[in-house]
Amino acid sequence: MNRVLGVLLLLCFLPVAAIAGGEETPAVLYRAGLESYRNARYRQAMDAFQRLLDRGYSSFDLHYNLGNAAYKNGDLGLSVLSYERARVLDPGNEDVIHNLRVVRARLRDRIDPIPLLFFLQWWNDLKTGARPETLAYWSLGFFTLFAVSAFVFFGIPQLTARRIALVMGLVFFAGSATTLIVSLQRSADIHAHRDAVVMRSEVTVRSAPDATGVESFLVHEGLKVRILESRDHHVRIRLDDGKTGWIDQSALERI
Amino acid sequence: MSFARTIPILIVLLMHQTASAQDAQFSCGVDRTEVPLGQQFQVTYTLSGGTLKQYRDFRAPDLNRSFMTIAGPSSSQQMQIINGRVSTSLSWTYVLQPRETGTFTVPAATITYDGKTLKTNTVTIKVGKAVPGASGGQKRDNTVDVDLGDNLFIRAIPSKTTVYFGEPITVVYKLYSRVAFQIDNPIKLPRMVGFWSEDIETPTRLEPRIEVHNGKQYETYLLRKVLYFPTQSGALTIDPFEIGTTVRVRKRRQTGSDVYDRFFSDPFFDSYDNVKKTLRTQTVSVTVRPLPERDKPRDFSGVVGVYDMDVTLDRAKLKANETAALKVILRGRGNIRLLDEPKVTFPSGMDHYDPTIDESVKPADGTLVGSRSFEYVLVPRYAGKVTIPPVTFSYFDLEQRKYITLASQSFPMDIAEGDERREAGDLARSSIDYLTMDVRGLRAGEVPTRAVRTGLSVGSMLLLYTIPLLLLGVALVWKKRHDTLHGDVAGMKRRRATRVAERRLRASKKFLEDGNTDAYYLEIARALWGYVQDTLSLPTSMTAIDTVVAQLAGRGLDDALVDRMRVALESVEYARFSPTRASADEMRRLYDQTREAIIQTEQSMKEKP
Repeated sequence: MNRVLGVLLLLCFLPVAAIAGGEETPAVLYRAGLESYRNARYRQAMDAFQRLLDRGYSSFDLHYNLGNAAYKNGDLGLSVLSYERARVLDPGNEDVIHNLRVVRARLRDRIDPIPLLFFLQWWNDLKTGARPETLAYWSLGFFTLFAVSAFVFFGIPQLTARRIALVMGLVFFAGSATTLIVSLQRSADIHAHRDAVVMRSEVTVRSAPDATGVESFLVHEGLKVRILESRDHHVRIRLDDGKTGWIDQSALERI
Repeated sequence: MSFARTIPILIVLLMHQTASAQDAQFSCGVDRTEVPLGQQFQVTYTLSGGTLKQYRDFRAPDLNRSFMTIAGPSSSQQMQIINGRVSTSLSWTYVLQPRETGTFTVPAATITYDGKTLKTNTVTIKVGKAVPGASGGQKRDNTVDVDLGDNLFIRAIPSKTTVYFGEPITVVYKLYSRVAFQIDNPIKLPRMVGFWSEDIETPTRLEPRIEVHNGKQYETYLLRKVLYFPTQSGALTIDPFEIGTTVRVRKRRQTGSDVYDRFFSDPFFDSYDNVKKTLRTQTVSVTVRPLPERDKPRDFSGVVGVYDMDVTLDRAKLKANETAALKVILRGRGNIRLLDEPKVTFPSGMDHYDPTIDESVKPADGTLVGSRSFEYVLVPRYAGKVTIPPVTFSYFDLEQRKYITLASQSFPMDIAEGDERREAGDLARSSIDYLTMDVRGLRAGEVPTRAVRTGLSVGSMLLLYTIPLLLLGVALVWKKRHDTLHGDVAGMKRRRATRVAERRLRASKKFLEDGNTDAYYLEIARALWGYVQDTLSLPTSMTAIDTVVAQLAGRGLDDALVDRMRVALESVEYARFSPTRASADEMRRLYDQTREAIIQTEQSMKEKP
């Protein structure tokens, strides 16, 4: 009796449910997430943002907001991952840089990075300071200026103008080449997803890519690591302080 | 089966199904409703139907008012699957024993289920006279309500009945006996509400002692000595304490008049019965006076007694990232086990760990005496001078009847630069700053869109780079064509003229110094003529001095300059073809003259092109 009733009820509600499910537009879902967050229901906000991402939607704000919700919900790993993903889309955004610092202050691992030579540091800053696309446009701009200089050099007979054009042309060419190389490197890094975040609360890093390897050290949730190589579900990681070791791939989520 | 009979069955079935699916039922049942005195019966409260996860807050009634609880509650859960439907039930069972004959009610229990409070029915129990030998195999060990009078009883003797909150009461449980007895079960004290208790004496062997109570001499046995620390204020009761005993009593005379009976009822053959008897202490009422609210220190945490505090720091001078230990020892008498860790305010930039707690407490003089110590491990992270502020601890002094706050001295620490690099410290400091901050708010910008891969491909990049190159090529070609079309080849020649002339003059000067006269005249003529022809865009074949001079004049040069030019041209022509050899001075003068003419013409031409 109950079963019949249940089926009937289900039949009554099924079309409604189907419509409701189909009409859950990204805008509705997104706003529901924002609303949940504002009402301090962080778990639900996280779910809403995560579902949008799962359905293939993406934006800087979405990753940023997911990072916020995850932080408020105590999911530091997901929070760092989301902020890092947002930072790939807009590396210069101050909000995301600030929030990353706030979350990092609460992580269990405190890694002191090895100080780099100043020009390597500049190189890294240049690499991570802007999107590769932006850098590529800079490179194109420099190249255009270089072409203008070349025109002046070859087309204008005045000596002073030609001298200036020669110097400027060389500078522009160097600028164009540098930004192009940086842009291509960064683009390759992003597409290879070489950076990852530890998602488990505590993971043992071993000296070899299997369970028998000697335990080297521990890493905790939210730590960002560089992936060097991978072999049968294990990856070799390097921390910012230079330590390397093998770790189970499932403990990481690539940025 | 008639129709009239099937309908009620259907209705019952329906009701049953809906009831079990939606409503939970809560009922009370007993295994029998008529119980003879001295026998036990079971009461079961059952919650059935529904999802049992949703229940909470089962509340049993006070069954001890009319009965004695022998055992329980024991809860059990049952799950049945009938025709694919799951029905579950949860029950709480008590084993009770009546205290006296009469009619009693088993009271209702309540439970909260799905937000609603459910209440069971009540059951009426008739307690009849004790039936000797009715309870199965225990033929001889009857639990009979034998009146032992004041021959066997237990007492709870409190040290005092009016105390302050936290002030201990010693309760001595003693058994008074004038008969032979035996204790059946291990002694278990009731759990008390409003007190926290500490056994101070639990004899393993009962030792008799002679004591006179109410004019009678008893053998007394100390059963337990317990300290009760009140944790609430107001009127509290120390619940009764029960023990089961077996007492040997003389068998009653049989009513029969058999001769053998008479013979055997001779005192020599007197027979005894073992009778079970439950002994119960009286309820002790205690008045607990609250501690005064006046002057109550803010950090007071309910510690009562007499205490002193000792705080030590093992080292005051150390390097950053080394460890120091701060030890707080509290010694005294009172409810010392309730001592919480004292509040220590550590300076910022100093990591500290949860304290390790050591305790040594023993009962003495009606209270607990001992110490409790807390050891904190500290790790200063930065160099510098920091001070640990005084550690404070408050308690209520029972002797002086007032609050006392103890404070240690403060501990200045001198921390030297650690072995680690300074940058690491700076990093840690900045992350400490961020610890106090929250993340910034949401960004409620654009609704996200389907992700589009805007990856950078080398091919498209190279294509983009060809655009400026192509533009450069096109511009250069255009410039060249433009120049040709607008005859600016002449302009270029003219602009180059000075340089060519200068070069030729320099060459001629070299010939002059070498003494190569012919080459000298040739070069100086070419310099001058070349200059004039390029400047005026004349063909190289044009060598008529008059035409050249007319052209120069037509360019708007002033007459003196035109004249000078003509003189220069003529001098060169003359000198070249003159048969007489000119002196070195003349040749040098010619050179200077020609050079001057060219330079001045050039300046003049630049001024008015």
